[in-house]
Amino acid sequence: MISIKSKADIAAMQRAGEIVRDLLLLMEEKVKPGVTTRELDRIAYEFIIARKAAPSFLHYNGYPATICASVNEMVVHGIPGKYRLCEGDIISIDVGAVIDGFHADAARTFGVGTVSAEKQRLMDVTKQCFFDALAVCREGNRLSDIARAVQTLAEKNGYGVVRALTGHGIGKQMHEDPQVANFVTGGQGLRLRAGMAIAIEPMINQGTWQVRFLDDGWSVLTMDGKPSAHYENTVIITEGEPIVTTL
Amino acid sequence: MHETKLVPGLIVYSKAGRDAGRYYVVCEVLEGGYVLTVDGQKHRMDNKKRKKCKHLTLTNHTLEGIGEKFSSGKQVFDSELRKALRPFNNEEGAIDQK
Repeated sequence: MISIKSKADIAAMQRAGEIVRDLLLLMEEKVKPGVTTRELDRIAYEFIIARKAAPSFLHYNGYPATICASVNEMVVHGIPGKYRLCEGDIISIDVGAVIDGFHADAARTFGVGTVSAEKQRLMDVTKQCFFDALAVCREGNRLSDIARAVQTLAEKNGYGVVRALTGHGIGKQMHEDPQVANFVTGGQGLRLRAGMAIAIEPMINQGTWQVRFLDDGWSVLTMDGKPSAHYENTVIITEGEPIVTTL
Repeated sequence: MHETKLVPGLIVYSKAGRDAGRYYVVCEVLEGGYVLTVDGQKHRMDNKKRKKCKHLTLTNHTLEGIGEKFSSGKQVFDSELRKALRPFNNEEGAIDQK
């Protein structure tokens, strides 16, 4: 069931969104060659707790960390650990926070030091896929308009859109209805209504859209080993311009 | 972060067996760690495939309309399964196929 958020709900979601936004800005500063993904996770945990919020991901279905730190060919759900970032890596950091009963969820892909032109273009196109999707987030449009916007730009650039994973509704639960696909599935999907909150999250692969899943139950990698980028924000549909709580 | 629920309508990927590498839709969750799956092509509605869950990778993509039909016992056509799985089991995406 899709929940429609009240003004008070939206205000709470914006508070959660500010924490996630600020944390991702901090992560951008901390992502450097030599730092481990576990160190980034610890910084993120302490930041969220200091803001009197709670990490949405920690212990969620047994997930052991505050952030997902996915490096290079890892698409999403990379578990922070001993891996030390290297010059030229790209890392997607996905994080959620809950405060006053409402969640926010966002992700960015950062370059570590200087990255290749190919990786930079992948990150730029992935980010632009989100903004193309945001441009059609208007009351009365359909979920398929979001999917088409993402898929069109990604495939025009020769990239693969991950199909096994989708965005989602968000609010009092981190995952609510509806699911927000990044590719056209045939149906039109439901219409967007003011008060709906969704996490739009293009996951774009430099090569094939196919992915594989590791036996840890979390990590998702590209099938061909080429890099992948992820860019996500929590978006609230209104009667006018959408609200992006995590920007 | 994504969530996966093993429910009718969920798209799954077969990672073991002769059908490894194909995507299916769960039509029924059975006891003992098994599910019944279909794809409307190799395994049609009259020839559902029983799979061990541990031989599947679960996506987080659920075909909601089809899942509701499975749950309520309404008829699901092979053609709608094929159409829904086309972006997964064909190399071309839905946009390209228009």
